[in-house]
Amino acid sequence: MTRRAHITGRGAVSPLGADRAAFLEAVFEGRSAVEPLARLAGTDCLTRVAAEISAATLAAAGGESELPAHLGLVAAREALAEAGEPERERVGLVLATTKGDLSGIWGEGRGLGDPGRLAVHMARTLELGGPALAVSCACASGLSAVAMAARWIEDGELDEVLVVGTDGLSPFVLGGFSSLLALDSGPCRPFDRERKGLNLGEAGGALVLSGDPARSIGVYLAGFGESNDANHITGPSRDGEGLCLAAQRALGRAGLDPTDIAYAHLHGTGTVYNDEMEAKALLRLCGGPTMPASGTKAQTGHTLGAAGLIESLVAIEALLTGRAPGNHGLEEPGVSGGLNLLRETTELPDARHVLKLAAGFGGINAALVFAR
Amino acid sequence: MSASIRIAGLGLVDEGGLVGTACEARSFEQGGIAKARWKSLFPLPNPAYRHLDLFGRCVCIASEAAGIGRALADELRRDTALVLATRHGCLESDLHFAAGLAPGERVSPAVFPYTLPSTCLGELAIRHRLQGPLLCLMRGDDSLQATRKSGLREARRLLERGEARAAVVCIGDCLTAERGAQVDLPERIGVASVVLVAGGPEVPELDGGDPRLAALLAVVREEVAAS
Repeated sequence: MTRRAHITGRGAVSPLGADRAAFLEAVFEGRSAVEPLARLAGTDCLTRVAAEISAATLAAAGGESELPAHLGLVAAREALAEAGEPERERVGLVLATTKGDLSGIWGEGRGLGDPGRLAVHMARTLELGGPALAVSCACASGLSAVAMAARWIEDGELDEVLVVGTDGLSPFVLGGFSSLLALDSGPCRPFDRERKGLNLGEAGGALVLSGDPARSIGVYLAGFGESNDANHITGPSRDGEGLCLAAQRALGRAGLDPTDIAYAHLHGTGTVYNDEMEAKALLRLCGGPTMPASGTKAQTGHTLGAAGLIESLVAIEALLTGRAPGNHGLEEPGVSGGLNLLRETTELPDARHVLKLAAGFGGINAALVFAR
Repeated sequence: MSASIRIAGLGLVDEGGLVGTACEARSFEQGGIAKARWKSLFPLPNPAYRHLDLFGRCVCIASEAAGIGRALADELRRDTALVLATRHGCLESDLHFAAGLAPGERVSPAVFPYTLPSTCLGELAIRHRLQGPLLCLMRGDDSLQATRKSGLREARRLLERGEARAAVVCIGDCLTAERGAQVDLPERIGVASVVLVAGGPEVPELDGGDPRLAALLAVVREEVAAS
């Protein structure tokens, strides 16, 4: 039997809460952390809102320059604790981040946006003895990192891999998305006909993957798939072919059909083109009306490199509890018909498999299938 | 070498010029490409590279020097993986973009997407219609050897697991002296591109030819054989 990557630990720190339980409770209760800009209020950008981390968390980090590392480490420690504190000498690290630490470029720190150095720093701080690598695959970084860690586990190269996603907000990031006119000036509304763009957020998320089923929380990674649109650098393909291909590859690896999937957690940025592309991708995958689906970026903001990790936590929670969150801010759907968008937290009877999707600049698409 | 993986092409762009298994070695001057400024390595009027940052240009031209178009049959392209292994990634574009955000400065919105190191692979995917997995790896140590090893190893893994039928592995950095001075780093410009294909008919051994290419070939053979 093929060796599988089992989930043994989970962690999160976000504007919705200081740990995983608080984060998930807020998501499933439909609360949003998107608020008027505070720390970044003076930034020259085209939005007045974001999901910023709390002042207490920022203080604990020791300042903005230390925030990406701090968020990642907090989430990592929580995940390692749930995993039963595996022997750290044998744990590898895959860090998912888009920019890592930009403090040397934008501020007075030493970080030069080099995710690899952040990975080494985190591995040393956590005293991990396995390999430490960073994956920077735009907004699909988190899912790509989970897939890479799963390959290490499945191939028997490592028994335990910690996957961490982290990104902090800065004028660099706000200015960049502003320059692309990709931000909603107010709270975003993914999949709504009035959607105008995304909100940004910051967070840390973590998963521990293990080859040992005895230590699993009851969930394993059944499949993963990646693809490239080969279409446009910033715009998603108009027909959803690339994301559908990633999902087909993930389902194929899992040996499943779309009808086996009880719920899909969507990328759902709130931009006009991403959300329509995602609807078309799922419709193409299912050949008609889709499984129940929702996204949570209207609650967390787009947390970039952390998004894949914290949103995987939501998908896993849906699998474990048989409930999926609704689409916050959705009033009137404005994407292709047939996408089964949840309005509120909804029961998922006998959920055995869930799908997590992500897409990013450069045409990157990624999909994970979690199973119990 | 792993019997199931063959090296189908090699390309290299560095300060010495351009060399690859699909083209003769040439300096930038010989190729009619000005070297006075790295920015004009591929002049803006060239529509193939008009929007790309320096890193993206080097990745694309190194891959084309490796014969990516010839090495990858049409039926392989949907399953061709792209792997980038780099230390500094798009630091050049990061510094460019950050400078443009300063009070009184301006920067084109077209620059921001290139502040992601994986964007250059997207450019390569678009140009050659490559739809396989895409992986951008960054190591924290300062060893090019370790970085290269990670990239080749993950590409080999994708091929051996059947997740891809071919892979283009790009390894290197692009940081000009001008930008590097802003952050106390030396100029580092060099991108190697390696085209790997799973299985397929035997092909004649690649001729290393140029000593830089021969050295690259030896390293790639060693890493690919390490499975």
